[in-house]
Formats: sequence, structure tokens, C-alpha cells
Amino acid sequence: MPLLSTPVSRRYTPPTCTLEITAQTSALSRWTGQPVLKQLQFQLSLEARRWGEPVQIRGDRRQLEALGEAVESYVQQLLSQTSTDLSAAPPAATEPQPDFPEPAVSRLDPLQAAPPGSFDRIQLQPKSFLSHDLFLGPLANETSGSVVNLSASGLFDLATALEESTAEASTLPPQRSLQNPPLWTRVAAIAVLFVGVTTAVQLSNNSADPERPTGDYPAEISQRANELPGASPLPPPPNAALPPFQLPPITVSPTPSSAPPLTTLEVSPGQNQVAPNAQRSAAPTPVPTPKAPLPNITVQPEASSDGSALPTIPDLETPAGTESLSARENTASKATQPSQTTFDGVPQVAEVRSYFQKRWQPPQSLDQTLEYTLSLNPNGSIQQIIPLNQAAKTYLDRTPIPLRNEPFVSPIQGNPKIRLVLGADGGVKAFLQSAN
Amino acid sequence: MYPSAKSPSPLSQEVLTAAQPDPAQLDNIKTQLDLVLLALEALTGSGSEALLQAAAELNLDEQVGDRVTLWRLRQSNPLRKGTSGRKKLDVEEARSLVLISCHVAKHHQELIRRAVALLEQLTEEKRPPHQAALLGDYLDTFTNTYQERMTNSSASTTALTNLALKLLVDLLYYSSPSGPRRLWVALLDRASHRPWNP
Repeated sequence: MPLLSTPVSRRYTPPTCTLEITAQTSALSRWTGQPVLKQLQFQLSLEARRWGEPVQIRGDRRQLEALGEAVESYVQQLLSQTSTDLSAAPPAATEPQPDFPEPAVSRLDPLQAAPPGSFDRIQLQPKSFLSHDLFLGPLANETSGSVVNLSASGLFDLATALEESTAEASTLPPQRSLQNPPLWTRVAAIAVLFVGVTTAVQLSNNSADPERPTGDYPAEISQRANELPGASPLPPPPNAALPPFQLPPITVSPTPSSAPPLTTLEVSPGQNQVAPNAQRSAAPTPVPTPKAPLPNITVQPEASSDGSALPTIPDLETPAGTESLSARENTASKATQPSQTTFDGVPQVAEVRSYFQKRWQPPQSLDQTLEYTLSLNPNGSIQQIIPLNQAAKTYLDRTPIPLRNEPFVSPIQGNPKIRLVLGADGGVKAFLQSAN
Repeated sequence: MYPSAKSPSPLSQEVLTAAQPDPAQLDNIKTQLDLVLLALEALTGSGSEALLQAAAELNLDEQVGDRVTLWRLRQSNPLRKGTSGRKKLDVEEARSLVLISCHVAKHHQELIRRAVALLEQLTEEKRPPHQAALLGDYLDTFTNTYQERMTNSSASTTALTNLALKLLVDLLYYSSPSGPRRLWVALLDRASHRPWNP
């Protein structure tokens, strides 16, 4: 399993559009069982009607998700409006019957039919049941213009490409700058270093272990960081953002053993390397499990101007505390759209959130928050619904939680559990409780 | 009343008894489903055999195992002629029919797509859809079968044609992997007459 990220690209080619996605796979992929992508960019080529050249659109992960959500909810709207009420006469009943029937698209909610001037959102509007206008909003560029007209099959192809791309890979939020990492990543870094140092101590006392070049040490730190998701929950960060700090020198007291003890492990900021002292250099690199009581280690963070000394630690998933965590994050996206928070981890969480945001209508009598754990089958349907409080149990039938084994969200490997929080005010929160 | 289509999970009696959409909603769902199946049948010729085969492939034999059961489920559409026979359709059966419909649609996706493309082309050229054989046959079969089976046979040909064409495009969306979810949500949305709430 490569520790470094590897570039990937995917191409989805329904007949009238091409969606190309390029990204880097994250080391988290090993935990989710499917590719977890970061730094995702997409290029979409649409053969819209009446245009000679295909329309080219580019964007990042958030824009791709926004486009996907807009298209899927519009498609659902169209489907929901097929009226089987045949007593409703077609429009212009007094005119001679046209040669080509054009079923009227039902009256949309006026709010939905946005005036052409609103360019800030990606949205769709019907012209007829076979013709739809896609307002590109922030995706518009000079060659595409702000509106693209799609036929029924063009819209279907676009929806299909977006659906397939969602199904195939999860995405991570963009990597935060390492200049001001939140406290918990630093705690993680210290914990990782602690483990690394401890096992280094063990190995220095055990000369029977195989030699490995010390240059592997920083790589080992990254690997340990990757293993942390399995560990106990990390504490949420405090409100104040701490300044970046450097990994401090660590003093290790020797364990009773025959080999010469390790005295100091120096860590230099500004390099992604650990520079052991002369005695240390003879010792082999750490193995995963320490075999003796851990020595005391004093760690004192120091202020430093350069936070880039930290090894790259991928975003880790945390359980229920993510809500307060993401609320404090600079990059939390909840202000703008009902899309991913920083710790969604898998796109199904955003799908769950979006599903309920569209449907949740709290009953008048409800004055509490309803919390559920939803465990998912690999095909994306619900395996189990666990109400977590009495109100959740009582009001279960008043929520829009679908049937078990009903298509719900896109497929996902493993057996993830998603925490769903439905507020009495209509608010919806969702986060990944566990990946399997 | 907020429509609930809850899992008949062993959680509580309230959940079990509240699991069904209310009768008016269920009637609507039965009609909708029957018409989706009618559209499929008219376009692809997928009759009972195809539906039963789909049921077997989806391991839904228990709900829809034989021709008689299937007939009864479809007959539960309140618009159908005939006062005898069961008129009930429970949520599990509705769910099974949704899965079966989408499975059959998926199987015929190419054909559905071709029909939609033809329709788009003719419409753009301002020609009536009947001029393409595939569409002409579809519309005739849909209209005739509807009038044979349903009680409101006074529905105009135009209205039926419009409905058939709209259903044709819908079938395209039901033929994709998200099909069952889309159909189920559409059924509930239409049944509850909720205003669209994005």
C-alpha cells in the first residue's frame, strides 16, 4: 500500500457527455475499502443541443458535488411531477390539437424558477418536458456561457455520469494548509512520535532486530498517523487556534536492559526528517509494538514560526465530536450549502444529510432533537435504524427515514454507521460514526 | 399527515402500525406503479413473464412469485376495471414492484434511450411522434391497453399520449442504478402532494 498519494483519473462517457476526473488517492483509502480522493478536479464536456462545439466546464470537488446535487434533485423533481391525473386537460384545449403533443411540465414552485439573472447558483429549469436549461452559476466560463440547454437524454447522460462518479469514489475535503493545523492533529503528531520513540527505545535495547535505514523513520510516522483512525477518539480542539509549533526535543529515560540507552532524540523543524544522535544511528528502526513498559517522556510544545515541519497527516475521521470540531474549522462549508463538513469522510454522509434536508419536516408537537444511528448495507440501503433517544423512538414514523433495504444512498463498501440528527427546528446533521 | 414509509422493523408497535402510507396515498401509489408498468409493457413487450423473471432475479419471489399474485397486485390499482379481486397493496409489495420495474427498465435501457432520442429528434423537427414506428407502436399500445384496463376510458387520446410520452422519459431515469430510489421518492412525493422543498 503506497504511503504517498497516487494520481488517479476517471472517465465517464455516456453518449452525450464526457466527465473526466483527476485526483490524488489518499492513504485513507485503505480504511474505506474504496478510493478516497483529494485535490479532485473535473472536466465536463457536454454536447448540448444546437451548439456546434461541446461545452466545456471545469471545477473542483465542491463544484462537482454542487452540480451533482443540483442535477439529481432536479431530476427527482421532474419525476415527482409526472401527473397521472388525466382529468387535467392539456393546456390550450381550445386550440386545434397540435401534431406533436408536448406534455406540459407542471407548475413549479415559483421559488424554484429562478430569474435568469441569478448567476450565483447551479440550477436547472425546464423549458419543456424534453428541454432543460442548466444555469451554470459559478461554473460558467467564457466559452460555455451562463446557460446550457440540455435535451432529455442529455440531462439523463449528465445525471448518469455524475451518479457513476459519486458511486465510485469518496472524496476528502481539500487539504488544509499545514501552517495552522488544529490542536488535535498536533496531539496526534505527538502521540505518533511518542509511539515511534518508544519503539525506537525498545529496538535500541534489542540488537537482534534487523537493521533498517533511519531514513525510513519519517515514513513510519506517516504510517502511524494513518493507523490512528482505529484508535480511541481524539479530543476536540479548544476555541483558540494555537500557533504552529515544532516537534520538541524529547528526553527518554533508559529501560533496564543491557544495550546502551538512548539519551536524546533530536527533532529538527524545517525538515521532514528525524536526526538522531550518534548513538541512535546504530539502532534499527521501530517496529509497531513496544514490548516493555514505556519510559517517561516529557513533551513541551514550543512556539515556532514554521509549522511545515509536521509530517503530512491526512484528515482523520472522528466520531460524534465532529460537530463541534467542524463548527470551529475555518474551512467548514456549512454556511454556504448543505454539503460536506470537514469530517464527512465519505460522500454518503453528505448524501444522507442532503436527503433529509430536503424532506425533514418536524411535527408541531416535537420539541426535542431526534438522533439515530443508521447502518448501511453495501448497496447503500439502510441495514438498521437505531433510535438513540426516546423521542427518536416515538417519532420514528414521523421522520423521512426510508425503509430498510430500500435504495437510499450510493453504494459503499463495508458497513458504515452514520449518525443522523434531526432537529425540532428542521435542522439536519449527519456524520460518520464509524466506517465499518 | 406526513407520509411514512417506514421499515417494518422490530422496534415498536407504533412503527409497525404506522408503517403504511395512508389509504389515499397508497391508492395513488398503486395507480402510479401500474402505469409505469404499463408504459414498460407497451414499449418493451415486457408482460407478466418478464416481471416474474425479474422478481426471481431479485429474490423477490416471496412477494411476487407467480402470475396470479402479480395480477392481483396490479389489479389493486383503483383505476382498474373489475370490482373483484384484492384491492390492497402493502408497502413491501409496493417496494417489490418498484424494484422489479426498475430492473426491467434497466434491462431495456438501450431501447428506452432510443425511443427518447427519436422523440427528441421528431419534436425538434416539429413532426408528430407517431411518425417513428417505435414511438407509434408504443403510443398505440399504451393508449389501447389503458382504455381496455382502466375505468376512466373517457380519457382523451391527447391526454393519454402526453402521459405515455412523459412516462417514457421517466423510464429512462428509472433504468439507471438510482432508478429504484428515484421511483420510490417520486411515488411518495406525488402521493403526498407535497410542495417541492429542495
